Amino acid sequence: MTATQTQPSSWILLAEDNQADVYLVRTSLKEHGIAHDLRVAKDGEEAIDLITGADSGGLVPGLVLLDLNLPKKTGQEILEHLRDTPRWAGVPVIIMSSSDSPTDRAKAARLGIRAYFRKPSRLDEFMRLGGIVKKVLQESTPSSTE
Amino acid sequence: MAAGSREANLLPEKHEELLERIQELEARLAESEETLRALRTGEVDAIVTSGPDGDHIYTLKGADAAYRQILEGMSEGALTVAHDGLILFSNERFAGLVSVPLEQVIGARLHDFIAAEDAHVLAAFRPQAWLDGKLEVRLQPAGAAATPAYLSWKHIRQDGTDLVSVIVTDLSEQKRNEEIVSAEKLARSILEQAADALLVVDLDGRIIRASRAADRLAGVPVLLRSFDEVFLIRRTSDLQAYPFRQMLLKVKDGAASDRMETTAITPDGRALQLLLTSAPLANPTGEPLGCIISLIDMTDRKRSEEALRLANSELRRLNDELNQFAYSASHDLQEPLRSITLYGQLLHQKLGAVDDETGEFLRIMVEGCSRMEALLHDLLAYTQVPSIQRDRQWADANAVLQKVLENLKTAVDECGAEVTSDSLPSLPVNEIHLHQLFQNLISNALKYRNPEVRPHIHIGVSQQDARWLFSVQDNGIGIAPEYHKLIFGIFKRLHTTHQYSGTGIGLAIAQKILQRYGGRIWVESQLGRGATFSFTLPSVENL
Repeated sequence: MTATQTQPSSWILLAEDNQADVYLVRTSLKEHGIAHDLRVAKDGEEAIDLITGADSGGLVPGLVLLDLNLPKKTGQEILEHLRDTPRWAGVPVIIMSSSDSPTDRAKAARLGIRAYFRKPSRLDEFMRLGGIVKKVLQESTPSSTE
Repeated sequence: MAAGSREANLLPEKHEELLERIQELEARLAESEETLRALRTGEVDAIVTSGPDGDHIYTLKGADAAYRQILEGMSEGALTVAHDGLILFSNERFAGLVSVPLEQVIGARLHDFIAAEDAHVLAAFRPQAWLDGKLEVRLQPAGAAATPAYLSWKHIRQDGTDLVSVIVTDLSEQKRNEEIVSAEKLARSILEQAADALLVVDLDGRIIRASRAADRLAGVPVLLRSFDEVFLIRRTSDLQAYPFRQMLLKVKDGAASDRMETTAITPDGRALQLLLTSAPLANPTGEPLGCIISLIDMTDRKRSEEALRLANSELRRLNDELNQFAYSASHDLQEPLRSITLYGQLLHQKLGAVDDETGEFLRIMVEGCSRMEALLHDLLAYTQVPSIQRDRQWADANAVLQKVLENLKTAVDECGAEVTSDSLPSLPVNEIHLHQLFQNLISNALKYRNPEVRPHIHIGVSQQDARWLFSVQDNGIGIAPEYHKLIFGIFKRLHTTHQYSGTGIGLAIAQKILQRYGGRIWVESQLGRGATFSFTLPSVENL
């Protein structure tokens, strides 16, 4: 049952400028058996472009992983953009941040996010990200098929 | 020769003729002496003299009427006194001065009317002294009050008798006038020499008295000029009356003192920042005469205040900038550090089982990173102290303490510490700040416990004026006095991290929080004898 819910045709957007973290995210997803296509945007504008470009081909991302501190457009701005666009408004978003500032958390929560992942310094903790992603994908699949 | 014969003609007078002549002169002398005696004693007011051409009647009315009128009309007392002080003559005025009927004055002695202490003046009346003079004395007839008077006397020789004529001026009225004059002089001199600019302005706005400082302030002599002319206070609009006139009107209406801070333009075009204080001036019956104005030149003070304000805001800006820098630096440094830590672990994982030395190197690297991460985390917390609002919320210190103890439950339970506290107050402090204070101090007390004894920590409080004095007392290892100041510095530690973990920021944060509330923190401790950290926080708002 779990294997069928990770659709190979859908894709995940990762907006992350830190290459070190991109590798760790990719590793973590792989470790949790998530076979989605992972497309990486290095800044906020590229993230919007990726969604828009893919959308013209009819493919809304199955999940967005957003780093808050991004060049050009912040993760917060991307989140606002998604929520303001009806087609993307329902896309599940996980925020990744090295900040645990309560204001950052509250701002993101108001716009609707599935999880707030504070980037840890311990490897085993970082690897838990894949598990969270998997859980969110599983929860989102029934609603996206409706 | 003719002249010689004329002289010779005078000589051969008859013996009888000469005797007759002598008799006549003797009679006239006796008559004169009698006249003088009668005059002295006041027995007569008319004297008849006999002469070759018949009798002459000299009444005082007749011969001396003019002088007597002058004497009686004088506002001074006039006397003729014998050298022994016997009053031969007195006018009514003198009798009035000493409050004795005139008939009792004549024939009395001047001593009787002069205060005993001043009686020495009469020595000057003696013929052998023959001194004219003037002197202030007190007239004091028996049983009466003293009257200040001025004696002016002159020796005269009248028909072979030495007499003294005396003029007596009543000083009592004049004295009063002099006192008024000298008081006025004093007041004027005080006013003129005052260090501040003082003015007396009449109801028309004219300056009728001014200190020299006022002249200096105006740059021109201000006396008798209109106030508005020398200190023109700008109107805020054309419709507005001149502010100074308005103030005068208020004074006219019986207003009490007034005060305003204003800009005035002097005749030479300088703009002065003045603190103008006015108080009404009235005569003894309460009728307004004008006002007394003091002008304090605030121009320099205002200028330095402005400079101070600018310097202050610049300092604040720099401080904010520095704080922002520290925040950004510590925040941005966390990112690469986290990568190093994570990849160190990744490397360790990838290498699998490595030799002891390689494993130790990787462990040291990761540990160093963790420690740096902790430092950056605390530095962030330190820089964020000022950004937490000192809002008007009140914190219940009892509730905050309970929360802190819940946080520290594991540490407390581990060492079996006993934590007690007084009943704590509510105070106008942000809860987050109070939480940090208790958390940092109590966790220090737990950390630096004496392993030999059961840790006991007591949180006490007492009130001092408008402040609460909190104390966190422990029975731990204590701190040597030479380190009592050092420990409040950022990242200052007295032990290695192997002995006691931590970054050394807790007390620095505590101090920074207290500075925000105008409070302070200090420690009383001896090595090995426990420590008491005390801090003060406001008990009322806006302190």
